[in-house]
Amino acid sequence: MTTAPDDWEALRNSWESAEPTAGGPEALALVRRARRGEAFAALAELVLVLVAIGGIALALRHAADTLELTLGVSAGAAIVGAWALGAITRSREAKAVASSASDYASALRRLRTRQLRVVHSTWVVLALELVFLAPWWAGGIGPHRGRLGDPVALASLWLPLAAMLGLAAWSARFRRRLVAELRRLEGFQREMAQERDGG
Amino acid sequence: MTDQVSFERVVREYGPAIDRLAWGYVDDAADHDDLVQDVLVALWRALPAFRGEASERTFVFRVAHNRAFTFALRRRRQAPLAADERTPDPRPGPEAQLDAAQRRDRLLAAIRRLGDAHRQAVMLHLEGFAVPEIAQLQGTSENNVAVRLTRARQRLRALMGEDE
Repeated sequence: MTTAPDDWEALRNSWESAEPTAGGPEALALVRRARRGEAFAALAELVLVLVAIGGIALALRHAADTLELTLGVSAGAAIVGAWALGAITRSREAKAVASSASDYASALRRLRTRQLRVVHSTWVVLALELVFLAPWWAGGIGPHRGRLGDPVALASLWLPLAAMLGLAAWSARFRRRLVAELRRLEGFQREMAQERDGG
Repeated sequence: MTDQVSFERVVREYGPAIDRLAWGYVDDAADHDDLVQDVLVALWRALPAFRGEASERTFVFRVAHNRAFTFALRRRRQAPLAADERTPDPRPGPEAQLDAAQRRDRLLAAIRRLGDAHRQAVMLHLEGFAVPEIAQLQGTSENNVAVRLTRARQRLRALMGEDE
Protein backbone atom coordinates (compact mmCIF):
# COMPACT_ATOMS: atom_id res chain seq x y z
CA MET A 1 0.00 0.00 0.00
CA THR A 2 1.42 3.39 -0.99
CA THR A 3 0.26 6.96 -1.04
CA ALA A 4 0.10 8.92 -4.28
CA PRO A 5 3.11 11.27 -4.42
CA ASP A 6 1.12 14.13 -6.02
CA ASP A 7 -1.33 13.97 -3.15
CA TRP A 8 1.39 15.17 -0.80
CA GLU A 9 3.06 17.73 -3.06
CA ALA A 10 0.70 20.62 -2.25
CA LEU A 11 1.01 19.89 1.46
CA ARG A 12 4.79 19.77 1.18
CA ASN A 13 4.82 23.20 -0.51
CA SER A 14 2.75 24.66 2.34
CA TRP A 15 4.93 22.89 4.91
CA GLU A 16 8.14 24.36 3.52
CA SER A 17 6.77 27.83 2.89
CA ALA A 18 7.48 29.21 6.38
CA GLU A 19 10.35 31.51 7.21
CA PRO A 20 12.47 29.50 9.64
CA THR A 21 13.63 31.16 12.84
CA ALA A 22 15.92 28.42 14.18
CA GLY A 23 19.30 27.57 12.71
CA GLY A 24 21.04 30.93 12.93
CA PRO A 25 23.57 32.21 15.45
CA GLU A 26 20.71 33.03 17.83
CA ALA A 27 19.96 29.29 18.05
CA LEU A 28 23.50 28.64 19.27
CA ALA A 29 23.19 31.46 21.79
CA LEU A 30 19.90 29.91 22.91
CA VAL A 31 21.60 26.56 23.52
CA ARG A 32 24.50 28.18 25.39
CA ARG A 33 22.00 30.01 27.61
CA ALA A 34 20.00 26.82 28.20
CA ARG A 35 23.19 24.89 29.05
CA ARG A 36 24.21 27.59 31.53
CA GLY A 37 20.72 27.49 33.07
CA GLU A 38 20.87 23.69 33.33
CA ALA A 39 24.33 23.74 34.91
CA PHE A 40 23.18 26.35 37.42
CA ALA A 41 20.03 24.34 38.26
CA ALA A 42 22.09 21.15 38.73
CA LEU A 43 24.56 23.01 40.97
CA ALA A 44 21.74 24.60 43.00
CA GLU A 45 20.13 21.16 43.42
CA LEU A 46 23.42 19.65 44.59
CA VAL A 47 24.05 22.52 47.04
CA LEU A 48 20.51 22.14 48.41
CA VAL A 49 21.01 18.40 48.95
CA LEU A 50 24.42 18.95 50.60
CA VAL A 51 23.03 21.67 52.90
CA ALA A 52 20.09 19.45 53.87
CA ILE A 53 22.39 16.46 54.56
CA GLY A 54 24.83 18.72 56.43
CA GLY A 55 22.02 20.09 58.60
CA ILE A 56 20.84 16.59 59.45
CA ALA A 57 24.41 15.44 60.20
CA LEU A 58 24.91 18.38 62.58
CA ALA A 59 21.61 17.67 64.31
CA LEU A 60 22.48 13.98 64.64
CA ARG A 61 25.56 14.86 66.71
CA HIS A 62 23.09 15.93 69.40
CA ALA A 63 20.64 13.06 68.94
CA ALA A 64 19.13 12.18 72.31
CA ASP A 65 18.35 8.53 71.59
CA THR A 66 18.34 5.80 68.93
CA LEU A 67 14.90 6.85 67.71
CA GLU A 68 16.07 10.37 66.84
CA LEU A 69 19.20 8.92 65.24
CA THR A 70 17.12 6.53 63.11
CA LEU A 71 14.72 9.30 62.08
CA GLY A 72 17.62 11.55 61.07
CA VAL A 73 19.39 8.86 59.09
CA SER A 74 16.10 7.92 57.34
CA ALA A 75 15.44 11.56 56.40
CA GLY A 76 19.00 11.89 55.04
CA ALA A 77 18.69 8.67 53.06
CA ALA A 78 15.33 9.80 51.63
CA ILE A 79 16.84 13.11 50.49
CA VAL A 80 19.80 11.41 48.78
CA GLY A 81 17.48 8.77 47.31
CA ALA A 82 15.10 11.36 45.82
CA TRP A 83 18.03 13.29 44.34
CA ALA A 84 19.65 10.14 42.90
CA LEU A 85 16.34 8.95 41.45
CA GLY A 86 15.82 12.30 39.70
CA ALA A 87 19.34 12.19 38.27
CA ILE A 88 19.01 8.56 37.11
CA THR A 89 15.62 9.25 35.47
CA ARG A 90 17.01 12.27 33.59
CA SER A 91 20.07 10.34 32.48
CA ARG A 92 18.06 7.32 31.23
CA GLU A 93 15.63 9.59 29.41
CA ALA A 94 18.54 11.39 27.75
CA LYS A 95 20.14 8.09 26.71
CA ALA A 96 16.88 6.79 25.21
CA VAL A 97 16.22 9.93 23.17
CA ALA A 98 18.23 8.68 20.18
CA SER A 99 16.27 5.41 19.87
CA SER A 100 13.32 4.73 17.58
CA ALA A 101 9.95 6.26 18.50
CA SER A 102 8.48 2.96 19.71
CA ASP A 103 11.57 2.08 21.80
CA TYR A 104 11.59 5.61 23.23
CA ALA A 105 7.91 5.35 24.18
CA SER A 106 8.58 2.00 25.90
CA ALA A 107 11.55 3.48 27.80
CA LEU A 108 9.49 6.51 28.86
CA ARG A 109 6.66 4.26 29.98
CA ARG A 110 9.03 2.18 32.13
CA LEU A 111 10.49 5.32 33.71
CA ARG A 112 7.08 6.90 34.39
CA THR A 113 5.77 3.64 35.87
CA ARG A 114 8.80 3.51 38.18
CA GLN A 115 8.22 7.14 39.21
CA LEU A 116 4.58 6.33 39.89
CA ARG A 117 5.68 3.47 42.14
CA VAL A 118 7.91 5.88 44.07
CA VAL A 119 4.95 8.27 44.55
CA HIS A 120 2.88 5.39 45.92
CA SER A 121 5.67 4.41 48.33
CA THR A 122 5.83 8.05 49.45
CA TRP A 123 2.16 7.81 50.39
CA VAL A 124 2.80 4.58 52.34
CA VAL A 125 5.66 6.30 54.22
CA LEU A 126 3.47 9.34 54.92
CA ALA A 127 0.67 7.13 56.24
CA LEU A 128 3.10 5.19 58.49
CA GLU A 129 4.57 8.47 59.77
CA LEU A 130 1.08 9.66 60.63
CA VAL A 131 0.41 6.39 62.47
CA PHE A 132 3.52 7.03 64.53
CA LEU A 133 3.25 10.82 64.94
CA ALA A 134 -0.51 11.28 65.49
CA PRO A 135 -0.57 9.58 68.95
CA TRP A 136 2.67 11.39 69.85
CA TRP A 137 1.14 14.74 68.86
CA ALA A 138 -2.13 13.91 70.63
CA GLY A 139 -0.21 13.03 73.79
CA GLY A 140 1.77 16.28 73.63
CA ILE A 141 -1.13 18.65 73.04
CA GLY A 142 -2.49 18.11 76.58
CA PRO A 143 0.64 19.11 78.55
CA HIS A 144 1.50 21.90 76.03
CA ARG A 145 -2.02 23.35 75.88
CA GLY A 146 -1.86 27.10 75.40
CA ARG A 147 1.75 26.90 74.19
CA LEU A 148 1.14 25.65 70.63
CA GLY A 149 2.95 28.68 69.21
CA ASP A 150 6.23 28.20 71.07
CA PRO A 151 9.44 26.96 69.33
CA VAL A 152 9.09 23.39 70.64
CA ALA A 153 5.57 23.06 69.20
CA LEU A 154 6.76 24.67 65.98
CA ALA A 155 9.61 22.18 65.56
CA SER A 156 7.78 19.07 66.69
CA LEU A 157 4.23 19.67 65.42
CA TRP A 158 3.71 22.44 62.89
CA LEU A 159 6.90 22.03 60.85
CA PRO A 160 6.59 18.24 60.33
CA LEU A 161 2.87 18.63 59.66
CA ALA A 162 3.48 21.34 57.05
CA ALA A 163 6.25 19.24 55.45
CA MET A 164 3.99 16.19 55.30
CA LEU A 165 1.06 18.15 53.84
CA GLY A 166 3.40 19.80 51.32
CA LEU A 167 4.81 16.43 50.28
CA ALA A 168 1.31 14.94 50.00
CA ALA A 169 0.11 17.85 47.82
CA TRP A 170 3.23 17.75 45.62
CA SER A 171 3.07 13.97 45.19
CA ALA A 172 -0.65 14.11 44.31
CA ARG A 173 0.09 16.71 41.62
CA PHE A 174 3.08 14.73 40.35
CA ARG A 175 1.00 11.57 40.24
CA ARG A 176 -1.70 13.33 38.19
CA ARG A 177 0.96 14.39 35.69
CA LEU A 178 2.48 10.90 35.54
CA VAL A 179 -0.91 9.23 35.03
CA ALA A 180 -1.75 11.68 32.21
CA GLU A 181 1.62 11.02 30.56
CA LEU A 182 1.21 7.26 30.92
CA ARG A 183 -2.26 7.42 29.34
CA ARG A 184 -0.87 9.32 26.37
CA LEU A 185 2.06 6.92 26.05
CA GLU A 186 -0.39 3.99 26.08
CA GLY A 187 -2.41 5.80 23.40
CA PHE A 188 0.71 6.25 21.29
CA GLN A 189 1.65 2.58 21.61
CA ARG A 190 -1.93 1.56 20.82
CA GLU A 191 -1.88 3.79 17.75
CA MET A 192 1.40 2.18 16.64
CA ALA A 193 -0.01 -1.33 17.23
CA GLN A 194 -3.28 -0.63 15.37
CA GLU A 195 -1.58 -0.49 11.98
CA ARG A 196 0.64 -3.41 12.92
CA ASP A 197 -2.46 -5.49 13.63
CA GLY A 198 -4.27 -4.08 10.62
CA GLY A 199 -6.88 -2.43 12.86
CA MET B 1 36.04 21.62 20.05
CA THR B 2 35.19 19.12 17.31
CA ASP B 3 31.86 18.44 19.03
CA GLN B 4 31.14 22.16 19.10
CA VAL B 5 31.93 22.55 15.38
CA SER B 6 29.82 19.52 14.51
CA PHE B 7 26.94 20.79 16.63
CA GLU B 8 27.04 24.21 14.96
CA ARG B 9 26.94 22.57 11.54
CA VAL B 10 23.99 20.39 12.59
CA VAL B 11 22.11 23.42 13.91
CA ARG B 12 22.76 25.33 10.68
CA GLU B 13 21.73 22.39 8.52
CA TYR B 14 18.70 21.16 10.43
CA GLY B 15 17.61 24.32 12.26
CA PRO B 16 14.86 25.21 9.76
CA ALA B 17 13.49 21.63 9.87
CA ILE B 18 13.52 21.66 13.69
CA ASP B 19 11.68 24.97 13.57
CA ARG B 20 8.96 23.46 11.33
CA LEU B 21 8.78 20.32 13.45
CA ALA B 22 8.18 22.39 16.59
CA TRP B 23 5.17 24.10 15.00
CA GLY B 24 3.71 20.64 14.36
CA TYR B 25 3.65 20.02 18.12
CA VAL B 26 2.75 23.39 19.65
CA ASP B 27 0.69 26.36 18.51
CA ASP B 28 2.04 29.00 20.86
CA ALA B 29 5.13 31.09 20.06
CA ALA B 30 6.57 30.86 23.59
CA ASP B 31 6.05 27.07 23.68
CA HIS B 32 7.58 26.85 20.21
CA ASP B 33 10.75 28.63 21.35
CA ASP B 34 10.96 26.46 24.48
CA LEU B 35 10.57 23.32 22.40
CA VAL B 36 13.21 24.37 19.86
CA GLN B 37 15.58 25.08 22.74
CA ASP B 38 14.78 21.68 24.31
CA VAL B 39 15.46 19.87 21.04
CA LEU B 40 18.74 21.72 20.45
CA VAL B 41 19.97 20.94 23.97
CA ALA B 42 18.98 17.27 23.54
CA LEU B 43 20.92 17.20 20.26
CA TRP B 44 23.94 18.84 21.88
CA ARG B 45 23.92 16.06 24.47
CA ALA B 46 23.16 13.22 22.07
CA LEU B 47 25.53 14.06 19.20
CA PRO B 48 28.73 12.78 20.88
CA ALA B 49 27.05 9.35 21.10
CA PHE B 50 26.31 9.30 17.35
CA ARG B 51 28.26 6.39 15.83
CA GLY B 52 26.81 6.41 12.34
CA GLU B 53 24.46 3.41 12.77
CA ALA B 54 21.86 5.44 10.88
CA SER B 55 22.29 8.54 8.69
CA GLU B 56 22.95 11.80 10.54
CA ARG B 57 19.60 13.12 9.29
CA THR B 58 17.74 10.13 10.72
CA PHE B 59 19.60 10.52 14.02
CA VAL B 60 18.77 14.24 14.25
CA PHE B 61 15.09 13.68 13.47
CA ARG B 62 14.87 10.79 15.94
CA VAL B 63 16.18 12.97 18.75
CA ALA B 64 14.04 15.93 17.67
CA HIS B 65 10.78 13.98 17.44
CA ASN B 66 11.37 12.05 20.66
CA ARG B 67 12.18 15.23 22.55
CA ALA B 68 9.17 17.01 21.03
CA PHE B 69 6.96 14.06 21.98
CA THR B 70 8.09 14.33 25.63
CA PHE B 71 7.51 18.09 25.52
CA ALA B 72 3.99 17.57 24.16
CA LEU B 73 3.28 14.94 26.84
CA ARG B 74 3.61 17.68 29.44
CA ARG B 75 1.56 20.19 27.52
CA ARG B 76 -1.57 18.21 26.84
CA ARG B 77 -3.79 21.13 25.95
CA GLN B 78 -4.70 21.38 22.29
CA ALA B 79 -6.36 24.45 20.90
CA PRO B 80 -9.54 23.61 19.00
CA LEU B 81 -9.54 24.37 15.32
CA ALA B 82 -10.88 27.85 14.67
CA ALA B 83 -13.79 28.12 12.26
CA ASP B 84 -11.55 29.41 9.46
CA GLU B 85 -9.18 26.51 10.06
CA ARG B 86 -11.94 23.92 9.68
CA THR B 87 -13.41 25.32 6.51
CA PRO B 88 -11.06 26.89 4.01
CA ASP B 89 -12.14 30.08 2.34
CA PRO B 90 -12.80 29.11 -1.30
CA ARG B 91 -12.18 32.67 -2.55
CA PRO B 92 -8.64 33.55 -3.57
CA GLY B 93 -7.03 35.85 -1.03
CA PRO B 94 -6.13 39.44 -1.85
CA GLU B 95 -2.46 38.55 -1.66
CA ALA B 96 -0.90 35.26 -2.62
CA GLN B 97 1.48 35.45 0.32
CA LEU B 98 -1.33 35.78 2.82
CA ASP B 99 -3.11 32.88 1.18
CA ALA B 100 -0.01 30.69 1.46
CA ALA B 101 0.39 31.61 5.12
CA GLN B 102 -3.26 30.73 5.75
CA ARG B 103 -2.83 27.39 3.99
CA ARG B 104 0.23 26.65 6.08
CA ASP B 105 -1.52 27.61 9.32
CA ARG B 106 -4.42 25.37 8.39
CA LEU B 107 -2.04 22.50 7.66
CA LEU B 108 -0.19 22.95 10.96
CA ALA B 109 -3.43 23.15 12.94
CA ALA B 110 -4.60 19.92 11.27
CA ILE B 111 -1.25 18.17 11.92
CA ARG B 112 -1.47 19.11 15.60
CA ARG B 113 -4.87 17.41 15.75
CA LEU B 114 -3.52 14.06 14.51
CA GLY B 115 -2.63 11.20 16.83
CA ASP B 116 1.02 11.12 17.90
CA ALA B 117 2.13 8.30 15.58
CA HIS B 118 0.27 9.74 12.58
CA ARG B 119 1.56 13.25 13.24
CA GLN B 120 5.13 12.05 13.43
CA ALA B 121 4.84 10.03 10.19
CA VAL B 122 3.23 12.97 8.36
CA MET B 123 5.87 15.48 9.42
CA LEU B 124 8.69 13.11 8.45
CA HIS B 125 7.05 12.48 5.07
CA LEU B 126 6.66 16.23 4.50
CA GLU B 127 10.36 16.64 5.34
CA GLY B 128 11.09 14.28 2.46
CA PHE B 129 11.76 11.04 4.35
CA ALA B 130 10.96 7.91 2.37
CA VAL B 131 8.73 5.18 3.83
CA PRO B 132 11.68 2.86 4.76
CA GLU B 133 13.39 5.74 6.60
CA ILE B 134 10.20 6.58 8.52
CA ALA B 135 9.85 2.90 9.41
CA GLN B 136 13.39 2.91 10.81
CA LEU B 137 12.72 6.12 12.73
CA GLN B 138 9.46 4.90 14.21
CA GLY B 139 10.68 1.36 14.86
CA THR B 140 8.00 -0.29 12.76
CA SER B 141 7.55 -1.97 9.36
CA GLU B 142 7.34 -0.19 6.01
CA ASN B 143 3.86 -1.57 5.47
CA ASN B 144 2.67 -0.05 8.76
CA VAL B 145 4.08 3.32 7.78
CA ALA B 146 2.36 3.20 4.39
CA VAL B 147 -0.98 2.42 6.09
CA ARG B 148 -0.34 5.14 8.65
CA LEU B 149 0.38 7.74 5.96
CA THR B 150 -2.71 6.85 3.96
CA ARG B 151 -4.95 7.14 7.03
CA ALA B 152 -3.23 10.32 8.18
CA ARG B 153 -3.74 11.88 4.73
CA GLN B 154 -7.46 11.04 4.89
CA ARG B 155 -7.71 12.59 8.33
CA LEU B 156 -5.81 15.70 7.20
CA ARG B 157 -8.17 16.04 4.28
CA ALA B 158 -11.15 15.93 6.63
CA LEU B 159 -9.60 18.34 9.11
CA MET B 160 -8.63 20.82 6.43
CA GLY B 161 -12.00 20.59 4.71
CA GLU B 162 -10.47 19.49 1.42
CA ASP B 163 -12.64 17.94 -1.26
CA GLU B 164 -12.25 14.16 -1.60
